Amino acid sequence: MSQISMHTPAAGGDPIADLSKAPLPTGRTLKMRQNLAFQFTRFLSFNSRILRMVIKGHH
Amino acid sequence: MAEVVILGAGVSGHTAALHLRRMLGREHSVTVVTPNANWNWIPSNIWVGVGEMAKKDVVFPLAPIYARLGIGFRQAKATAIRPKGDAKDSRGAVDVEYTAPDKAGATDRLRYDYLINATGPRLRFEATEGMGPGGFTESVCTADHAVEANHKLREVIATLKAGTPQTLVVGMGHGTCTCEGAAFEYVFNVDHELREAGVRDLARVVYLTNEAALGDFGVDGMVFDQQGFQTTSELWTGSLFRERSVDAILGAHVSKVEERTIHYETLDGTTHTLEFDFAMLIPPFGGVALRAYDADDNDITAEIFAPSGFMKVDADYTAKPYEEWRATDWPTTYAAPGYDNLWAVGIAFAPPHQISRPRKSPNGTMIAPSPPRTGMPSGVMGKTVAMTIADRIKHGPRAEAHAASMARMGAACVASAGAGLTRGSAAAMTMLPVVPDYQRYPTGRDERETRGELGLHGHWVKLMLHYLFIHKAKARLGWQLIPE
Repeated sequence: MSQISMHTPAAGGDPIADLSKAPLPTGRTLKMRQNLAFQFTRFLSFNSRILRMVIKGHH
Repeated sequence: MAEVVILGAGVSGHTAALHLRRMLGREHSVTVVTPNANWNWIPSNIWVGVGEMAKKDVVFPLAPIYARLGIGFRQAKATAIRPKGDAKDSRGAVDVEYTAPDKAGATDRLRYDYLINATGPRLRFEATEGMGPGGFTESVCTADHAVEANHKLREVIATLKAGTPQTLVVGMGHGTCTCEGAAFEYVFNVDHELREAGVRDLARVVYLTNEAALGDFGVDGMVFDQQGFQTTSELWTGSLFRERSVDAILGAHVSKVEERTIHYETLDGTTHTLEFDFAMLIPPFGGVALRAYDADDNDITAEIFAPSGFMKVDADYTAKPYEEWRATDWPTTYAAPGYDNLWAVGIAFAPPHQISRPRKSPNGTMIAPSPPRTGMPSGVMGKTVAMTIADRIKHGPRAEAHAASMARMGAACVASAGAGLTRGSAAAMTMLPVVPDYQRYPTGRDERETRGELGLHGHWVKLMLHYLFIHKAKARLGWQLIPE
């Protein structure tokens, strides 16, 4: 399943995961992650998901 | 009149105690035995460990709460369970040793009609030489550990401000650790603090984990539906590591820690050393030191407990390969086999196997995350067993047990990536079920409910949960309306 490989950058170095294929967020994504109005809608959405899960999956 | 005894006052045990007291009349007793005087909301220890919260914000004394509610409280550690009683009395009993300063060392034998073992983990720092607060690394497993970790972190930040580069390592201190989420949270909170202090450029931050892939979290990773496409928790968390410039070392078993040097082995069998100036490593968990005896005082510990020290319950413990693992292997009622009045919940129950695929290095070193059973599932288990006990007391011993399998229940995992009401962030994840069921869902989980999202709202959720669960744990107005 691993999409992120490990590699040793130099002899004796640490086997650091190669993250070069991991997608970097765009400037717009980073901005939206801190946008108060948008994040408030995500806050409501996440809470509704938790509640739905409590109802569906707890007992 | 029935006597219910609960060992442990963590999320699971405390939840069970509150619900039992709510559901049972005062003619029945509910007694909690715990070596700690305080309750600790452990998920917020992360913020204590970076100085964003004080110890007093995450702990409160249990005695006044239990006194107000009419719950018996023994500040003591359980040392033995006697499920069939002893020569004097056939009722079950628990041997305890008091830890409260006024009675420290005194012993007692408590009789019970129903017993819940919710003793939580024993922090096995000794599993790795040199690890832990008594050694060369920090911990955030307790509030006191977190306070100490923050002191050390402040020293490192001061050194960075003086212009000296530093290496900070956060991760798992053994190949079989669990709670990768806590290390994930802490590494990004440390990163956030370094940025806020304006010293991130001089610091190397390393995440050292036993996970074979990023985003595994001990639950075999997750597949998310993101805007109509499937994506993995591996790619999603990898993105965060890349964005924050945190180095990740995967599939690692820490074998030894020396002053400023970590020795570790990776899944390919090679061994390495990593120099550090600050390290926070989570220890592996084991069951607490509890023995079990029958009525004739014969040791039946091996019958009741797995070798790990966790209590056996209604799980399928048959050894089988990963490909044959099934959701039905996981316990549903948490009752100890052969007993209808003994349960183990939260970390105290022995899981049937890992959730993530177990792996060994060519040297035979097991490097496999243990299954997490904290937080939301832990609370649900506590409440479920409380409901079973209440039904049996009210309707007789044949009342059907309530069920809550981790292979059916969901969980929310909110991993803080930095504190701050307007500048904070967190990786907010939901998964349903916790244990993937590949027979039921192609990706192991319900894709509609299994999601991951990064942003400020995650911080707000984590902060909200902090206040909600402390409100609940203090049994304040409407606590029972707050779900586990």
